[in-house]
Amino acid sequence: MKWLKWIGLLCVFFGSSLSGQSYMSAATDDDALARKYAQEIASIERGRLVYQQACEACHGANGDGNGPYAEALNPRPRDFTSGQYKFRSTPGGSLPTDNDLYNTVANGVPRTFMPPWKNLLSEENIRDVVAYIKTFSPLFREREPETPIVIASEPPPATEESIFEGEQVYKIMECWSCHGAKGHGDGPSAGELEDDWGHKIKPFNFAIGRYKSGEGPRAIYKAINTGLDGTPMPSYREDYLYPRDAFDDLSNLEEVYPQSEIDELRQYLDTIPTEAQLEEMSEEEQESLAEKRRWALVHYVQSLSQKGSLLRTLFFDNTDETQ
Amino acid sequence: MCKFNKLWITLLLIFPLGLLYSQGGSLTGKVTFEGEPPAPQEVKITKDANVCGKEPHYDESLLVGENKGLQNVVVSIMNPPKGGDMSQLGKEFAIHQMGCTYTPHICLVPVNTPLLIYNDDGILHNLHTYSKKNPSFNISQPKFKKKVKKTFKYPETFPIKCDVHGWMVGYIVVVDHPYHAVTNENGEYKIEGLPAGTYQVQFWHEKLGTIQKEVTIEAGATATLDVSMKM
Repeated sequence: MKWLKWIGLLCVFFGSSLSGQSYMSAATDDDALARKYAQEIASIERGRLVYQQACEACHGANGDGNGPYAEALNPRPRDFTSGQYKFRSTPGGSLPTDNDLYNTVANGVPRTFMPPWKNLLSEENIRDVVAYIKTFSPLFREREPETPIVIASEPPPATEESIFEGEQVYKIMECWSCHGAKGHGDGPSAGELEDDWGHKIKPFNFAIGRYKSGEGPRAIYKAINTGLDGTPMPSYREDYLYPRDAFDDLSNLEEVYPQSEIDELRQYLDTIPTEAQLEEMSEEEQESLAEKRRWALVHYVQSLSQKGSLLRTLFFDNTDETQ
Repeated sequence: MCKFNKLWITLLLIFPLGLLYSQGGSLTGKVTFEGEPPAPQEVKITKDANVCGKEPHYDESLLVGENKGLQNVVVSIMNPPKGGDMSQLGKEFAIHQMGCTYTPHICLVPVNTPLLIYNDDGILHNLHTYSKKNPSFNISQPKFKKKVKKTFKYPETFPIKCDVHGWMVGYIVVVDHPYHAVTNENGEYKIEGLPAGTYQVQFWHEKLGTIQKEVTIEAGATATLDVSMKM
């Protein structure tokens, strides 16, 4: 908490400069900065009180995710000292934005012990506790979060074609390595996965639905393309411009797919642009192709959820509760 | 005239010394494993057996060669002289993922210099780093993506792992001066171009930790510093 003290001192200094008559001529920029710091300090202090009552039992007094209840929880509470967060709108490896943290605290995390705090805490309470949580990791003082990735506010609707293409993207990207050919979380690499803290972690079984990162296609898009930092789930954002001629050998798919499924992929590959054709495309055309494939994968993953049939996925399931 | 002669004689005397200094000295030596080395542990290939399992895999975290030479020890000068030619570490810095191992297992790369990470296997790997000072990343490298380029701003040693193939672990050593070396399969290392002086030398091994020694290098000479490391 050295940092707090330091900012506190700074705050007193600026504070006095604000009230002192002799400093009235100080640049208004400094005044604004001083007020901003003072507000931040106050927010962090209020946040600490909220944290002690609402968060500490699991996340620990030091924010290291080792509170008294942590041992009994699976998945374990987040370790705030690492600055690594699963649920972000920012690219992989980046810090989350304040809004990302706000959303996680407010909406909670389904299928874990993290409840939606918006039912119990005011908006200001949550903003304050977010400010306090950030003080646990030095990274928030050293870096800025990167710009959030762009996610279409109105995703393209799922169609039979997009789900089919998404299934082929799923095969190409080898999502099945961990998530399994049917998305049941039982791929060949599933058994030995660990998170960054060395705790066992399982790939998600898409049949369950109820994503930790939120409901709806935009949340799935976000998870695939930002990755879930601190877990084995990487970011796939830059990988969608694959050319037809990069797939001579598909034999590694035989590990989990029957020949008919591999043939299906082969048919799809015959319809996509070659490397030379990709290079001839403008940047906009390339991006639109990549974006089409990104959403196709989302549609396929979403179609694996058993709560919805194909029909439901097509016509009813495009709501997005995270927003 | 007399004054001019003296200048020449002085210059002639200084020149060879200067030459010796500019040539610099070298540090060489061997790192050995102290005690009875454990038998190499074979790793079970659980995925992509036809690509990864062509040759048997052994746990790379402790490799002891002939005469107990310890491989993959990072030898670093902790009080490096100023300047130094980074190109003595090499011109291109690359890690290859081939047969589901990282080659080299320990990769030195200067700060702000591109590190190329190749996927020679033609199957999905993911590049998951555990850096603290440099932003860590976890990105996919699917079968069609042959090359990923990354640069690092701060000197730091950290692991890189592949979650798809859990046994794949390597280390990236980001350095801000050229006076580093990694021991070969016989435990030998050599650091060149060191001006005369007394140096603190650090030996770091991923499993056996860190030891530090002091060494004095004379101009143009090669100093030898052998150490042993134990569990």
